[in-house]
Amino acid sequence: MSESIEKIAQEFDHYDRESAACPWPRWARLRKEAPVAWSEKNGGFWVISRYDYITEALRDTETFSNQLKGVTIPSKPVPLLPPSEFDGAAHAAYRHVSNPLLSPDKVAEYLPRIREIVNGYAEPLLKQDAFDATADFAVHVTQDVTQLILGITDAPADLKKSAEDLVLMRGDREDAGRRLFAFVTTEVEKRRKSPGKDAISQLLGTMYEEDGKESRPLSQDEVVRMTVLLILAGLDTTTSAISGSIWYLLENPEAQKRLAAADERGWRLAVDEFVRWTAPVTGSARTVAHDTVFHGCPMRAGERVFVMGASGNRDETAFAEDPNKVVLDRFPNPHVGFGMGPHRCVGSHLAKAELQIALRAMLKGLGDFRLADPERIAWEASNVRGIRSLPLVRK
Amino acid sequence: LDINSFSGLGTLQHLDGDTMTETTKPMQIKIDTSRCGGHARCREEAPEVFGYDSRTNKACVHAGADVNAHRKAVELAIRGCPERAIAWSDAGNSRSNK
Repeated sequence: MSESIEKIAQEFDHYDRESAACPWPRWARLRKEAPVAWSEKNGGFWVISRYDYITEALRDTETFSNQLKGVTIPSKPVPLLPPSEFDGAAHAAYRHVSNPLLSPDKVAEYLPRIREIVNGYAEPLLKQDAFDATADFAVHVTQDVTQLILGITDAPADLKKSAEDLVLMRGDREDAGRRLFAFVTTEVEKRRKSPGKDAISQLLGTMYEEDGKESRPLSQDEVVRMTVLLILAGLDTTTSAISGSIWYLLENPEAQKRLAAADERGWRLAVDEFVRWTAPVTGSARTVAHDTVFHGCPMRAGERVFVMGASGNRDETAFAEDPNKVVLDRFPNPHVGFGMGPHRCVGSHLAKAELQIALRAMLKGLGDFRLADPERIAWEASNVRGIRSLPLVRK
Repeated sequence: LDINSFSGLGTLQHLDGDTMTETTKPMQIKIDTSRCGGHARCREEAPEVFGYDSRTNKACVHAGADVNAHRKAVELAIRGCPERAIAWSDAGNSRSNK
């Protein structure tokens, strides 16, 4: 009756309908029966699905390279984006530049503005009889916060679409990449002429200091590519986390009550739990740097590897309480929703702040709403996964 | 480890390349900075004890932090660390030694 594990492995495709709507049973089969599997899809790639193998691979940057072919399968049709798509000393040098842009202290400075942005959308929406929690709320919040961080005041109408097409690898990605780079280049030039306190201005004033090399200012091209990454990484993922959490809360009114009564620590634990459970990044790709054997599987240099953190987040061997359930006060919660090791998400502190503020705002009226139609929730999957449309109506 | 990145923290001592220990208290805390991934959850659990270096993206222990006065919070920080990078440094087989 059930499919053979050989067929599941060979045909595993993180872009297909099953990956979008109901990926979990397939992940569970892989974890149990083929935790390191070879898929023939998307040019052929290894899939690592078990929690402990995932954290091992993410830390073993000598064997699993980000720089050879980037962190998506297939590779994006744009130049490699620092720091994420660099290895070793160059990666470390780029991270030293980007870490302070989104550190916990830096995020704390943005909190009042983020609250204003969130409430500016949430309050009117909660007065309506119907709205789309993704398209009318989460998408706008994440886009406005990204623009706030980058100091963008007049984004072109198609910015979101270009970024989405590139992240979700759909439509004309080459064209989306060109448009996004052209826009960001213009922004960087603007900031060079009149700097502000935004992240782009900070990058322009920063020295690149790589071990064993002479320090130098970041080039225009580097600032552009780092900015493109900040745009791509923060939009869709945070939208998915906010949308997925709201979906859960709508289906679980008890959780709405518990969360509304939670203290600061309760909120922090809940936010990490929502990141674990929604897992907006299905996986991060690597490329085998040298021939190796990884838990019995012979891997050749150049082969692609999909390190499937979202499956690790559902690994029953890594979490004491059923990982398929949301446990609002799960502790400890060593999820890999932001990755693990040296390439761990630089924007995690911002993402968690956005998620918490968004959910706090929504909880003020969410109890009066229900899903318009569970069948109408639109999921989309690629290297990332999330809800595209979440229509709600007043009860 | 970039020692200079901790220069603002005065009394911290580096015992070896990747381990630092705050040395003035009966119970000490050790952060394995080669493992630390910058989650900053230790700082959330015990802000009186743990800091965060925004350049290196690594946790640190405040100079002069009264570790023993915040044992419960420190215990939560140790248990909650997703990288298992924090340990009491007099605990024999500390968890940061793999």
